[in-house]
Amino acid sequence: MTGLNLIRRLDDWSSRVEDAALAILHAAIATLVCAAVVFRYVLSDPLTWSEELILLLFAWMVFLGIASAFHARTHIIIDVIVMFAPRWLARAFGLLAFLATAVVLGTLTFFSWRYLQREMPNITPMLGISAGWLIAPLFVGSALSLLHLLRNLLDEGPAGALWSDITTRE
Amino acid sequence: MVTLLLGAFALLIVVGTPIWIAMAGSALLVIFMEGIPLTVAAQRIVAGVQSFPLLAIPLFTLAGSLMNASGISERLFSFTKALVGHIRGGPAHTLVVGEVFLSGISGSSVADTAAAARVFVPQLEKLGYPRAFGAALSAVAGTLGPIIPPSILMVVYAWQANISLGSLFVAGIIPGLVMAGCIMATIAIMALKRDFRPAGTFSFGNLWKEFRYASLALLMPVLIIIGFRAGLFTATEIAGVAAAYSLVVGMLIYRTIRLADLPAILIGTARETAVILAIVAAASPFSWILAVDQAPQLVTDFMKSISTDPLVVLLILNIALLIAGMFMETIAIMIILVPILLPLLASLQIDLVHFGIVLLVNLVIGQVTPPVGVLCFVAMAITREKLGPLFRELWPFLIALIVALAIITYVPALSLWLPRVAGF
Repeated sequence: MTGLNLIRRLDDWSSRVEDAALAILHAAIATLVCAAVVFRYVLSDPLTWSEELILLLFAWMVFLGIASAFHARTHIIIDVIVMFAPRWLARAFGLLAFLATAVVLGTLTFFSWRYLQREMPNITPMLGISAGWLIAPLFVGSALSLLHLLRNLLDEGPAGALWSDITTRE
Repeated sequence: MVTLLLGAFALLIVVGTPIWIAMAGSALLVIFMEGIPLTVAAQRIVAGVQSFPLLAIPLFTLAGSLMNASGISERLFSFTKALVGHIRGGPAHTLVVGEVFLSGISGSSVADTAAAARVFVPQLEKLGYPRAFGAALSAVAGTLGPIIPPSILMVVYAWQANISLGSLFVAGIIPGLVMAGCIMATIAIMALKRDFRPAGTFSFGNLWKEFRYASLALLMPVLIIIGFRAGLFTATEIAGVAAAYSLVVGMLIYRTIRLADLPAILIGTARETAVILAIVAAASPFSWILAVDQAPQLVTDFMKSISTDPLVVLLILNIALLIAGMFMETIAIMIILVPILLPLLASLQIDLVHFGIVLLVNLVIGQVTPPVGVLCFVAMAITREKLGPLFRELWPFLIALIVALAIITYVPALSLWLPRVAGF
C-alpha cells in the first residue's frame, strides 16, 4: 500500500533530519554557553542576546529530542506490571497506552498550534523575533512524535509502538 | 481535582504509558473537565523548559558522555585496582572505589552502573567471583552516581528548591563516601566467609603510572567545585566549561575521540536530556493543578497533625520515599513531590540542602530495589544475569545502603559541614 509506505518514508526522512538537528542544536548550545563565558569574564563584553537564543535552541532540542525518543522508544515507562501480566492483559494495556499517548500528542499538537497562532504577533525582548518561535518546538515535536508513534504502530503493532526491549531503555 | 488528577495518572502509568504522557494526559483531563482553555496546558509545557538552570542537565551529561567515550572508565578501574586490588576482596573494593571516582565525572547512575557492569564484572568473574555478585555490586555502586557531584538529579532539585547548586554538590561528597564505606564494609564482612581473592600486588610505581593517566579526568570534578566556589559562574556556565574540558581531554590529550564520533555522542545526550526534560515540562501543568488545589497545604497540615518533630517527620518521609522509590521513577517522584513538600520543610525549619541529600539517597535506593529497580535491570541486561540470583547477592548491600541513609538522615553535619567550611 502506497499510503503506508509514504508514512514509512516520511518517518525515515524526518528521523534523519531530527538526529542531524539534535547534534547541531546541542553543539550550538554548548558552544554558545562557552562563548558567553569568554565574552563576559575574559573580554568583559557580555553577549546580551545569548541567554534568550540559547533557551530558544534548548526548547527545539528538547521537543525534537522527545520526538526522536518516540522513534527510538526510549521514553521512561514503568513496565513492571506489564512484564508480569498475562499476555492478553499486556496486549490490552499496550492498546490503551497507545491510544492514550496518541490522544495526548494529538491534543498537544492541536492546542500548541492555537497557542502559536495567538502568540505570533508578540515579539521577544532581546532577539526581537516572533514569540511563535518559542512555541513552535512543542507543535513540531508533538506532531513528529505522532508520526513516529504511527510508524511504530505499523511496524510493531500497538504494544510495540511504545515499548521496546529493556536493554535499549536507559 | 486532585483525586481525578492522581487517579488518571495512576491508571495511565499502570497500562504502560510513558511517564511524561501520563502527567500531561491527566493534567489535560483535569483542565478540560474544569472548563479551563487547553491552551493553558500548552503554555505551561512551553514555559516548563524555559529555564536557564536546567541547561546544566544536557551539558553535564555531555561532559560525562565525552569522558566515557574517551575510555576513562577502563582507566579509572585500572587506577583503583592499583590502589586497593591487593587487599582481601580487593577486586570488589576496586569496583566501589572506581565508582566513587566515576561518579565524580558522570552525572547519571545508569551510565555508571553500565560502565561497571561492562568493564569490571567480566574481570571479577575471571577471578572466581560469582557473576550475580558482580552484577549486584555494580547496581549498588551505581547509586553513588547521583550523590557524588556532578549530578543531574541535584540540578533538578536545586532548581526546584531554589538553592545553590554548588552548595548541594559539595554537600553530597561526604554522604557519598559514607555510602561507599557501608558498601565496602559489607564486602569486608562477606570476604571473611567467602573466597574473595585479592588481585595483583601493590606497587607505588604502578599506582603512580595509573594515577598520572587518570588524573586529567579526576581533575574535572575538582575544577567544577572550584568553579562554584569562585562564585562568579552560573551552574550552566560551569557545566558548559566542563563539557569543553572533556572534549579537549578526549580529543587532544587522550586522543581517543575522533571528530566523526561527536554526532553520535551529541545525539545520544540530546535524546537523554529530552527524556528527562519531557517529565519536567509535563510536570509544569501537573504541579500547577496540585498547587491550585492546595495539595502542598494539605500535606503540610496532615504531617504536622502527626508530629512537629523534624526527626519524626524525616523518618516518616524516609519510609514514604523508600516505598515511592520502589514503584516509581526517580525524576518523576522528585518533580511531583518536592513542590508539595517544600512548605512543610520550611515550616519545620528542615535545611533544604540536607533534605535534598536525604531525598536523593532515598531515591537512589529505590533504583536498586525491586520491582522498579532500574539499576538492577541495567546490570542484568549487560551481565545477562537473572533477577533471582542477583537479588540473593543484593540484599546485604540494600541493608548497608539503608544504614547509610539512617546515618545521613540523623547526622545533618555530614551533609552540611563541608559546604560550610568550603565557604558556600
